[in-house]
Amino acid sequence: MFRAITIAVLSVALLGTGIFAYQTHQEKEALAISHENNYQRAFHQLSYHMDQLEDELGASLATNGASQFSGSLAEVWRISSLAHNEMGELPLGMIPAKETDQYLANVAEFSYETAVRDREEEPLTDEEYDKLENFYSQAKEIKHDLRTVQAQALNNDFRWSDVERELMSEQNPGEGTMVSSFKSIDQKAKGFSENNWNDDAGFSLDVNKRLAKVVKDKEELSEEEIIKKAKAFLDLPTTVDAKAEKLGEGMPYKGYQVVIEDSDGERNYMIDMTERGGLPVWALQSRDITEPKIGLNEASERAKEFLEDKGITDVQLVDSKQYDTIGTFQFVPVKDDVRLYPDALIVEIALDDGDLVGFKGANYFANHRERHDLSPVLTLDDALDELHPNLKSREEHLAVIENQNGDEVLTYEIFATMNGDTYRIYLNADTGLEEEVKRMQEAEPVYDVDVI
Amino acid sequence: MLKSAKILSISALTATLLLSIPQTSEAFSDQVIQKGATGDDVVELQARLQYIGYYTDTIDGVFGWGTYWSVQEYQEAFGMEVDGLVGDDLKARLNKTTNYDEQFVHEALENGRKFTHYGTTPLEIQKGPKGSKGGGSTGGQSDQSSNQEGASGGGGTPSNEGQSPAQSGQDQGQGQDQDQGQPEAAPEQQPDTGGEVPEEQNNEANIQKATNVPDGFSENDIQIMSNAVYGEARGEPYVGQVAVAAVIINRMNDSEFPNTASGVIFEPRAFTAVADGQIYLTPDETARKAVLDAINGQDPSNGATYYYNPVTATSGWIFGRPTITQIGKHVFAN
Repeated sequence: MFRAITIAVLSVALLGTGIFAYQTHQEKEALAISHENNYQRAFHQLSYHMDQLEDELGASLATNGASQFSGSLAEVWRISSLAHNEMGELPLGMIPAKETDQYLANVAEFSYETAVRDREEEPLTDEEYDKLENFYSQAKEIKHDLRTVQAQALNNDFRWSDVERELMSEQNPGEGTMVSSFKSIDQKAKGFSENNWNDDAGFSLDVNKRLAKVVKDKEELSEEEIIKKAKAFLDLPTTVDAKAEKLGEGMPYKGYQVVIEDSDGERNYMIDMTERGGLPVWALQSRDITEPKIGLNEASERAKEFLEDKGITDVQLVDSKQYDTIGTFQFVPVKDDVRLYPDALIVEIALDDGDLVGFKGANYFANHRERHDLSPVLTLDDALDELHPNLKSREEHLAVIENQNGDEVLTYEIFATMNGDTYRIYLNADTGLEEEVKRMQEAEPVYDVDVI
Repeated sequence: MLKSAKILSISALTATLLLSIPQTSEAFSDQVIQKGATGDDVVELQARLQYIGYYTDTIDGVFGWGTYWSVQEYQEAFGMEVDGLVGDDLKARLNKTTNYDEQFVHEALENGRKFTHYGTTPLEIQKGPKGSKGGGSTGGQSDQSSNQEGASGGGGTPSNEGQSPAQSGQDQGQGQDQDQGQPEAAPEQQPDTGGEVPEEQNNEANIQKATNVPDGFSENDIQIMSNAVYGEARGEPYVGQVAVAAVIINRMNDSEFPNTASGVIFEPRAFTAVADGQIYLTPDETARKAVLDAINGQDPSNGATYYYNPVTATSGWIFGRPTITQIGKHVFAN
């Protein structure tokens, strides 16, 4: 009797466990499938869009006449950014896609630039037409390869999640798989992006490279001298503990990262200095900041004093914002009443004791130099005539900015209002063209979800 | 806030007063208020400017562009130097010519309550709500409720069947000034506005708290990024956290990566914290600060687009990237 009951109970328990395990398995399966589906969708859409990209690039080569041309170029631009987006949805590091991404970015940039400009006045140059032809033939190849991979994947019932798993368990997804197919596509794309897109054609060098150029001829300092300079810059006594470490070879210039600990142990500073010339690239202090005791205005004056103290004079405060206990200030140098935005400096001041908590000088040291063309062709009144009639101008300055092509241009910086919104408009001071129009962000209301 | 508490103040400028007479207030603190500031002084400034019709936007406690232009208009109208800075002179003038019911405004701010234009128009002749902001409350109602709340001692309980937000953790600059104990000014005064009230007075105003956000980012973007930074780098030195946030921004600006914060963060296999769900932990204040620092331009990673922990990193290819620097446990590379 007892035995029979035991058997019955155990069989029920076994059955229950079985059902439970089966359900869990089902759920897991469903989840894995939906995960896989996301990857599949991104991948198939990518090859679909490469198809379309080829079509539209071909169409734009064949169209004559400004208006239709605009249409197909805009289409190229739209599709290339879609494709770029879809690449971002595929697992990173799994497919070597760097160059393909770069290719898409180049196509997007080119089509945007040519689509928005007035080609009645500025028709496509022969060079640009060649470039377009190039993009077209490249799109053809990439599409062809992608289609091949896609067919393989469909025939062999390929699963992205399998590759992902292999990758996570540190096995190298072997030769002959999807990954190696992708690799060869990417190799090809690399050839493309190198061929017709060299870095110095219109592209601005990044700030580190420019800084490397600036410090090239300066005197090389020893580690001790760097530490000394770092302490002096942060107004710290020479006695505090500090150690310096060389920056890695990934930097275009040689430099040190200096870590300084205050004797009380509560605050510590980190600062990067260039080895040549000992220029402070950035500095941050980390410590708890207590209740604010000084106002934003006083803090901004301290920030300015700090800069002047370090020999950075003739600067103007262009933006200030309070984040709880920290005041963040942006300064730009001013020369002949012209604001030099590419040389901007950032200074952060703690509002409890007015101490420096953050500094960024990379742009200043990389870009600040004697600029020669600082006199505008247009007068301010001429420039204001170019403004949209509904805008009411409130504040005007001359300013050098870096425009979308990465070139420095002299502009009129105009702050204007319309329907309660504030706009910042940069009008080219020579041509009167709008270099940039931006609606200034207002403070954001606190969206509180507790009450909903 | 009781009527008996009101004191007479005899001043040449207030000679035209009709109703009860305000307490002289020294409510503003000593600071010169400038654009970008947040906190009680800004709330008071906006309320007082609105009182005499120079400020029509939401009273939100953040000195933004709208407030900046209002201050300039005021300065221009009264022949002061037009610099957008609120100094002693301007504050004294505002104190003399306007009223500020601190408790009422702060209650409204806490509760995100909409109320009629904070200003001069006597209640009897006040026009009805002008469309816009879900015109529930008329002047009479709101003023009444203000009195009620005043009497109840202003415990800050959202007792009124209030609209949206009560306060949560993010009270920007709110707590900071409260201890300074600002005396209250009394309401219901017919002020001398210096004879220059601009024509278009909007009857509707609302008060909602706001916070400063860096250009081009929303508070929610900051939140997502703080989540990622906290999941990836909690326990790291502060500078290391700023560097992780900076890597997210560097990726946004790099053509190899998606160009939105969420696109970068949720790119499959990009961040371990996303893969293992740690991104859904609630971030602390430090992570948020680090994100703000990075958005404002700080980049301790010196332009890196990759970082890894050499001890735990699994994918070998990452070691091949040229390193830039090490901060805490993370190596930054590009």
